[in-house]
Amino acid sequence: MAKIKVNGREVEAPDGANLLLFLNDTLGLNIPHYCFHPALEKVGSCRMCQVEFVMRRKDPDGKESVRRVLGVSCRETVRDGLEVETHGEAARRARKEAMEFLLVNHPLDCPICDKAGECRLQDYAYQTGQLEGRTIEPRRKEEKLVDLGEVILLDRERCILCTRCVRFFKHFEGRAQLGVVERGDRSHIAAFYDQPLTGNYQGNLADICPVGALTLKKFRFKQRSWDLTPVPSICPLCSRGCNIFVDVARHGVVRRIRPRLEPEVNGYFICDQGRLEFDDLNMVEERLRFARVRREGRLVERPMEEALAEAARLVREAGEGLLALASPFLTVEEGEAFLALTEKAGFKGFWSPPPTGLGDRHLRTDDPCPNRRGLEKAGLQAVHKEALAAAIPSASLVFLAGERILRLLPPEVLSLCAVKHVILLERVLGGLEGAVQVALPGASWAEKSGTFVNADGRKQRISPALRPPGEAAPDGRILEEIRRLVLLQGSGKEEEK
Amino acid sequence: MSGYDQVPEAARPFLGPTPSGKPVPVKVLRKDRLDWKEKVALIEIFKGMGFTLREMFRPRFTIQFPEEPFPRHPSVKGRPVLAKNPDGSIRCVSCGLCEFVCPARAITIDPGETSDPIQREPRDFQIDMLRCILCGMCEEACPEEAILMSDELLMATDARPKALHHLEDLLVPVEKLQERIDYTKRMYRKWNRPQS
Ligand code: SF4
Ligand code: SF4
Ligand code: SF4
Repeated sequence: MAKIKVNGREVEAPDGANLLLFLNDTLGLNIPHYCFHPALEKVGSCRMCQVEFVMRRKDPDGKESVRRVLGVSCRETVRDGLEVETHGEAARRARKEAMEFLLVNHPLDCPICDKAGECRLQDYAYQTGQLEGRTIEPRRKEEKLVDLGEVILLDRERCILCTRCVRFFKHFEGRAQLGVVERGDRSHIAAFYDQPLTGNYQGNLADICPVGALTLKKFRFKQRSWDLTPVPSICPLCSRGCNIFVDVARHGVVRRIRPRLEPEVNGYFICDQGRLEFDDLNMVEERLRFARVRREGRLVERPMEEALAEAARLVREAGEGLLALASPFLTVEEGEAFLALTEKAGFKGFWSPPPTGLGDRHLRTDDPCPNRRGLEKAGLQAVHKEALAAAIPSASLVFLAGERILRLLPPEVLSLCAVKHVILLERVLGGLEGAVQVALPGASWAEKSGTFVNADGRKQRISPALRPPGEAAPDGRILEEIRRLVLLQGSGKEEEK
Repeated sequence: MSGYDQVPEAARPFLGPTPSGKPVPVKVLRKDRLDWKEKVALIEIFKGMGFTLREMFRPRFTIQFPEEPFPRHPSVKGRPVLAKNPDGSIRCVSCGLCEFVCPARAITIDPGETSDPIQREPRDFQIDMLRCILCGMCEEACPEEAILMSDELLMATDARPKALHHLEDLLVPVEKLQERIDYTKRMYRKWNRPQS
């Protein structure tokens, strides 16, 4: 611990910590900054984090002299005897001037800018209070719609040249793809040889850019940021379990997924699949809204209670002949409920899809199961293709439970199931219409709460962002209800009634 | 003592008979008989006829609504509409401020892209006139002078779907709204004076 003086007050700070981070995160002083990002190299180019350093020195003749200099706090480390003034006249003025220069050529785009509402430029412009421009020269015209590949669009007029994006590729991905070209007032951001950006982490540019210069194509004009409710959750697309926010719009539509800071798992970033592949959360038409039961050879929509009772009857009658397969998307709690329900089953486990090959050395892993460790710990076994293909023909009833199970199972296995009696707990009917006896409408990971355990054994909580449509309900609730009915029917209470 | 005695005297008649079964003595405070002038009623009749006679020779101010429009000041807040520029383009950039500020949540915007320099315009813009309370907050929030309170006050329909106004129903040439624009500019300047 080092003793430093901030605005005349003595405070203890961890030795060697970044001064700006300490001032903002620990003392809550809210010093503005653009080019500084805790995950990137510090360059101190935007000059927004300037504070006044007070230097005291004893002259040889014993007199103390004080010198005050302005400097950027983002490149300073905390050390003993440091003395800073953050909100003195000089520091304030320096920051205000830096701000005014940044805004000299900035367009008045806020009404059409996707960043509005979470834009640092807006925030600090209000904070510093220079609300009107003092220039009379026309603003610089730049290209407003530069295509940077499949994920990102660049608006050069809005760019403030903080070079966060340039450093992101250099330091996080280890492969520079963007650079500042030309010099002076003609400098601008460009992709090398105007090639589209590549890699699985481009989406992070939209978060990293402190203004609306880099925006997501997928989010373009979809929703204003203040209309979104962020729900903290866990990305289910691989076993890393990145912490995310699911941003839900007013009408119950997921509009965006973005990283949530978690230094022990994903830091500030997530991969592009996790960010962009959320369309199936908003699925409407294909979605099973009500339970369906086979009556006289046809699948018909029936009330949930009837479907649950039917499922319970089938499970109880099948006994040993039940083959129960859970999706790797089930939470720990649901895995336990599943295990309890299928006690007597001859064959049970959770489906373990083959590695995707999408893994890299940053975040993404090869394993597409978000909860492998959790389900194994709950007592379920991972099931691979061969074992499953061997077991299906001898089963009398197949119980498939959990989100995406139909999509994850290979077609060969599905065709084996298609000649059996099947109970399906899913969000869609998939290709099994002919075999399904009872279809129960399940929920997606964004519609339930529970625990996922990631590849490192870290327990993390998912929380519901949406409401399941119709009579659909979280899988765990349905599994527990079937189990209750199985026990009830088994004890003969049902017949007595 | 019975509970009857604890009720204030003025309220006792409402309780029905006293505990002893005797009716409560009632005192009427109003005048309950007409005097002779009122009984004859002729004076009042002549007074009324005199008034009618006088009015017959006055100029008429009844307006034959709805055929005849009545004059409206630009301060009237009628149905919110969207301004259309003389070149046919839509002023609204679908920034969503009105959607957000609307206390009745009457506005739903579906933003879309255009090739224009403004880049953004509504693909659809719905105002549910069953929800709208004509407060004018949308007009005040709009940074583009695109949504304005028109002077149209006839919004009744015979079917619910018709009360949902879409983009094409809402677009009005900006010339027709100029008076309101000038008025709001003047008023907002007056109200939103920067604090010095
Ligand atoms: S980058 Fe920020 S300040 Fe600039 S137009 Fe977008 S929202 Fe407005
Ligand atoms: S007038 Fe008021 S209630 Fe009506 S649309 Fe505008 S903001 Fe909403
Ligand atoms: S506030 Fe104005 S510009 Fe913005 S969406 Fe509403 S009408 Fe359009």
